[in-house]
Amino acid sequence: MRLIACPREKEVSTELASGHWPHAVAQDLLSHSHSCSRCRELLLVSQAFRQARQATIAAAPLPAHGLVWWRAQLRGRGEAVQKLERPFLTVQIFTLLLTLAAAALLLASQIHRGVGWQPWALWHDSHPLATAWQETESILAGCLDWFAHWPLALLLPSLTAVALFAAVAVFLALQRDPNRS
Amino acid sequence: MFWQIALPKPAAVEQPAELRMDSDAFAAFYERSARPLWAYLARVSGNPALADDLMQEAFLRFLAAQLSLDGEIAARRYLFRIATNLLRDHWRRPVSDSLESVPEPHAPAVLTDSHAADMLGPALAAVSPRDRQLLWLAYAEGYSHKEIAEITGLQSASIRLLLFRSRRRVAQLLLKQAKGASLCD
Repeated sequence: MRLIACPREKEVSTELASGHWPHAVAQDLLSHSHSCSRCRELLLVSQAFRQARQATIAAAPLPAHGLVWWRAQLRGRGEAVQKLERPFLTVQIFTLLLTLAAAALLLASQIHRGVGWQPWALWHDSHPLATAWQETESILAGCLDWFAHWPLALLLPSLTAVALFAAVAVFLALQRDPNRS
Repeated sequence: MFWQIALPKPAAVEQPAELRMDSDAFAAFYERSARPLWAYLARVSGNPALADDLMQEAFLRFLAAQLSLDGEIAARRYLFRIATNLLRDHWRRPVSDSLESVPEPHAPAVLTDSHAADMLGPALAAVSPRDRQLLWLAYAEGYSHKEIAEITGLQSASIRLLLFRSRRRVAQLLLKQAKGASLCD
């Protein structure tokens, strides 16, 4: 498609935009618009759109500005609260991870002390999983030596406290309303 | 926030600052801008119920953006830009068959109240949504090519060609309808 614009199209547009068309327009521009197909096209489309705009604007059902303003304020506040709560969420996640780590340490320490409830004992010594377990155990042994010799009277209350913290963290996390905006 | 990702970044605005509009200033701006914005959304989408929702969302995002814009014309342009992005997001979303997506029963009457609107409706329906946007912004709102480029995010150079093609198509459809109507009379 060839894009050939009429040099007087701009003039026609300006007159249309200023509302001068057709009564306050120079005669030569008016007669040009009758003979030029581009300008005729522009006039037809512009007038159709302007009339449609006026009709649509007149029929527009608008909510009160106060309602929109109030909703914007509400959304703004919700967002501010969420921004404020973000560090708390980080703390909650951190606590949860800490609890899991503590639980893993407790489990490992108890196994290391030889509680004797490893179901893996059923494995044959040559089983690849058993070998892997023995290796892991030996690595952990050094790290857990200190932890494993904690008196049970100190260990259990500490873990209970951590578990309680985690429970509170999970409870608070679940209480968050995902639909709040 | 997820919805903030869709917020366009206006070219000629200052850095985000305090909320620039108080309630009264917003009321005045809303009175002058809401109807043209609704008309744009309703005409381009062809769905007045959707236009209601998108218009409110556009104003909420506009207020949440907390930008200091250079005058009301720039503010209105920014508002149209938000609305254009919302329309685009709506079209990109997969079509749902939920009860909420069914248009309100009063919808078509609002858009075909006058003869001009009645004539333009079928012609607009025959062109693509992007062309409807461009045509409405250019010939109903009177925006320049540069302004349309800012609102739609298209290249300014391509808008001229796109508008030329879609204007010709709509003009042909309007003429066809006018001829058909005169034959019926």
